[in-house]
Amino acid sequence: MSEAIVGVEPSRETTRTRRADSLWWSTAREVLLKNPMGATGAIILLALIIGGLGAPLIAPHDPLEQFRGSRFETPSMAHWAGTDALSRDLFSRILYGLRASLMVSIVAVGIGTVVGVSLGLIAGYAGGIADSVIMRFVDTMMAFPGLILAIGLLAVFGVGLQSVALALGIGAWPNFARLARGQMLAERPRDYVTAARALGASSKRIIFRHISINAMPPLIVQVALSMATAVLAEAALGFLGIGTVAPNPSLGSLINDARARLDLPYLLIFPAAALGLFLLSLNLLADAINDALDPHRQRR
Amino acid sequence: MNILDLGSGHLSRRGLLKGGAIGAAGLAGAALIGCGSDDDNPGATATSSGGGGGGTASPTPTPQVSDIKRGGTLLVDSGEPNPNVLNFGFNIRNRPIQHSVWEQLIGLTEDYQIRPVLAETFEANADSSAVHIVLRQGVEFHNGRPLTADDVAYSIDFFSNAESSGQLKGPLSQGISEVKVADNRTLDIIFNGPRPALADMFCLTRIVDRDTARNIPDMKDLVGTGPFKFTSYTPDVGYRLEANENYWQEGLPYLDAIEGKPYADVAARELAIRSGELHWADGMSYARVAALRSDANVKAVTRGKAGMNYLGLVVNKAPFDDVRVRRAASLAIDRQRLSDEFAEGVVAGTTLPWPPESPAYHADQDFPAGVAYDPDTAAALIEEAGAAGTQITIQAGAGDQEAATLGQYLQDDLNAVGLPTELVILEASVAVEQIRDRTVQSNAWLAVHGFANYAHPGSMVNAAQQYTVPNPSHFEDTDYEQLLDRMQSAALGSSELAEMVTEFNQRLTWDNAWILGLVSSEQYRVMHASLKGDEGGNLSVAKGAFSEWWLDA
Amino acid sequence: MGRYVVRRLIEAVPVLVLASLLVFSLLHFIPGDPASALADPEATQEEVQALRERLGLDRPVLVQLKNWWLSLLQGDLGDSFRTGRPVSEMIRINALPTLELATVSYMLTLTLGISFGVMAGVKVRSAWDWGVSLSTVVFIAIPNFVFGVVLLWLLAFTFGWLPIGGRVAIWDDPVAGIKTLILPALTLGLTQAAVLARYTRTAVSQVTQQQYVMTARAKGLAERVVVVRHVLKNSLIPTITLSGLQVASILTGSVVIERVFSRPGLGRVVVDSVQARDIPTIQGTLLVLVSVFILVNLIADLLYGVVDPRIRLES
Repeated sequence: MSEAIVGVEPSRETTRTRRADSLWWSTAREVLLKNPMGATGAIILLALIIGGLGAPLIAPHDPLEQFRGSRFETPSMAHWAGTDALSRDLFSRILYGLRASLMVSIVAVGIGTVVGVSLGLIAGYAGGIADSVIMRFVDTMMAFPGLILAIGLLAVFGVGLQSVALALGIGAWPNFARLARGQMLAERPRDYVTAARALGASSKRIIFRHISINAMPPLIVQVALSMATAVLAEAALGFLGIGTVAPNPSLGSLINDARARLDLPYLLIFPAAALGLFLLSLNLLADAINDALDPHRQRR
Repeated sequence: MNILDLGSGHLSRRGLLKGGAIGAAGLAGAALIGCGSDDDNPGATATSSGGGGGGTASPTPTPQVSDIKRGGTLLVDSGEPNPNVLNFGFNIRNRPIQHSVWEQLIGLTEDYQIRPVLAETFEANADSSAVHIVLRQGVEFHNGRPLTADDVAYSIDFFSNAESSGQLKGPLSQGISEVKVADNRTLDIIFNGPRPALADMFCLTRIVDRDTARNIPDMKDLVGTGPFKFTSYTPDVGYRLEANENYWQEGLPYLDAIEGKPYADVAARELAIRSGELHWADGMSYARVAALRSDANVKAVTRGKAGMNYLGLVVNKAPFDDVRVRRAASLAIDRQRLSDEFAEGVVAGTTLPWPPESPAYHADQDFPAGVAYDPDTAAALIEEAGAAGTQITIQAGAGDQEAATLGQYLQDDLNAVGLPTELVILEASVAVEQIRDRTVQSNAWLAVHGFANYAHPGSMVNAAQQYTVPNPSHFEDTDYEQLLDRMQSAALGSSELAEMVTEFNQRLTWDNAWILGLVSSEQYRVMHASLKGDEGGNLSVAKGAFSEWWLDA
Repeated sequence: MGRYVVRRLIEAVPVLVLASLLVFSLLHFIPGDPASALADPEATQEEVQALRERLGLDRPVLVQLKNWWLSLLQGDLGDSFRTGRPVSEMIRINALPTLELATVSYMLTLTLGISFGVMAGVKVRSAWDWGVSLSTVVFIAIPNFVFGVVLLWLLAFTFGWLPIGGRVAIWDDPVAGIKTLILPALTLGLTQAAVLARYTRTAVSQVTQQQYVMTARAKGLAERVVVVRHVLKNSLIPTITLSGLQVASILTGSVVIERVFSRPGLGRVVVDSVQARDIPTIQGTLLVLVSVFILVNLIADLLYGVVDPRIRLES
């Protein structure tokens, strides 16, 4: 998607000497221990994931419960982030908004990864007509402005979180396909593929066992970036009023609600901070992973 | 957006029919009616009336002729016009064009008397089975063609045919058996029986130019006899109307021109009104109306109780097939909270589809006297019906922010009495379709409707689909159907009709309880202080609309 | 070079055709019926059917597709269901405020993005660099609409310096026009400038550490000369591609930003049309936007080819 956060380019050149299992550990070590930005991102993200996924356990109130007579209350001990127009606990709504955002982006990126990587690997491995057809389609999809494609798709699927996840997944797969195909083209002529083929391994086995593991590092970066894009798009759709179904909160819809009552800044500050931190942590982490996986990049 | 417009569209219907009660004397008897008083007060309508549920008439003096300033261009906004329903629909966005370009045979004064417009005489026969019409002399269409009786016949036919739309079609096509044109200025319209309520429709039927009427949906030739001529329209940019120098009313209009500019949304409109970049805007939200009241440069006015937000119940499936559950739902709704919070104190809770001015309105049958907030009784009734814990769904259209918000209040109210409620937001057009096609899938739906106070209560219950049989609720009852039939033919002002209305109200709010009124929907507009002549928000068939407005710049 | 341009142009054609097919087919899977949405809520079934026929929705899908393509070739995007006017006219009119916003935002993006990026990149690890890097990280993370609402709250609501929203055409009233443009343009411009600054910084810092730059510095060339002659020339090559992509980001961003500031424009056309099921308008707008993006990317690629001749030879 064109409005993906383009500050980071997934590195295409990565070490292939490292073994896949040790790669995870070394990457994690580099990201978490040697890169303070990465560590910060990871900690914030972890906290937000716990807050979002654990919302049913952590949230002090039901996000839909209306405390009659407590309309537009400023933050207090009873309501940490205040209450909204329908006297609901804003803090709990933010947690559930995070949860929705997480779920949508995980499903969207999941769809994007599975569909995109499969098609990309097939295109790269098979070549010929299959490659042309798939990549032409990828080119076309990538020509669409992501958010506008999602709005168009939502018109087809109807509003709601599932639709948003599906629409964003459809927007996300071409990136993965392009990436996976590139990896496949790079890996195919390598010795271990030739060796596997000589040993009589099937195409399927070669693709999914051997190549996909080695194509992993740049994919991880792409996943992190796509997560950030999905979170952003989900919030934007919520803001435009076509993302979530009332009364369920989304970070974007909470911010849109705040726009109508600028005299009550707490309505804006808390959801905006939650969304901002969420995206910031994803970006920091994607950066750090990218740095860790890129041997050519100079350490800062 | 769609549903919002639908709601507003309905609202405006009452605007058209403000004072629509064509006096009790109305058309019953052979009274000659075409003699509207010329001194009716332009300002004699409601000013904003808080949560009072309707306007209170506060006469303001008619501006002295010497005060009136001529000229200037009025800048208005009610949104992008919808050409598909331009001259017959009740779309709020079309109103400035509708009221400027076209006129009807008759209009109404603020005190419900018939006011002659294009008809000089509009005379019903003894049993209200026909009217005799003599047209005003010397009226010309904007294209210079003189108005004739054939144009009236054409217009009636035009609005009776299938491509036209709205409430006009049914009554005109079913109620009129013949239009006899006697000469250029005289015609007789014969009804298929005594139709005391049918005259209501002539306040709505705009007289169109037969040469160009077919082009109206293309927004190209909009030709009428009204005070302003249509000159141009560009989508998303706006339209321009210019004063009709040959207007039949001497000295009118005061303004040189009207320009319509669609603003992106309510916030942009509010900004433009505050700065004087816009003089008049329609369709403001409650919160914006409340906020604008403190601005000295802005007047926020209401036309009084113009419609009703309601919850329609689907009664052919559980749990609302049990009338006890329906009554319980009505008792469970905290209408005072809806008024205070949802409507920001701007309008009141209501259960009756009539404005307080209507003879059909009975305060003792409305909220709070009729149906009060009583969650305990509600919970007990639901328990008694064995419906406690039944999951129900309420649907609203996507983009209709007001319905979505109302739904969330109702959710809380109904959850509290043992009906766990889910809010279903449908794609806007699907929501409209399901109501229209009577295929609502949920247990209940949220919508707004304007209860045009037709002269005759029978007109409303015959026109609004929630009350007719069949209806989207699937409510059927032989006695009720007979009641509707009897209401159609009952004479205006008769004690029988009053009894029937009482019975209708009782059935609607309690006995059968299939449409639950929630809060009034009032028709608000805001205007810059420099705009004069519409102090009462007076844009309706009752008055010459824009023709008597002027700018005190 | 000429052959390269022609090849890139030819490559863009199937993408456009496929995109138009995609746009067309997408909207024919929409549940519900546009005619129903447009008709008066109280219209009867026959009335809806009559409207459907008038709009051509009763014809077979393939016929509709053929007609759509045929009229596309004549530059006709059809008539809007909603307004009855040609879609091309609606796009032309609404493109104006969007282009106005996008142009000003883009100028902000380029000037701020490149200047801050270069300043940080030539002095890596300086206070400047840290300041720029930190603020770009934050600006990249904050969604543009959040930033927009914050600016709205601060500068328009709290201080009252600028209008809450709306648009005044600059040629009608220059002062009011600029006032209504400042906040949305700042919002879009700053968020995109952060992306560009960050990218430029990386590119510049990589180039400054190249051998030839070090050599130039060692030769005692003035820093200004080093930066302009050696660093900028080489580091701005990748920046061109990104700034091309940013045109798309800014146009897309304006859909949301127009909403924040209640501005008219293409964003409003898209959202309104989706809600009203105005198929010709959605199709036309999507297609025009996609074509613009394809064109912008093409121009960026060609520019890239001009500054870096290696590109033309590769692939």
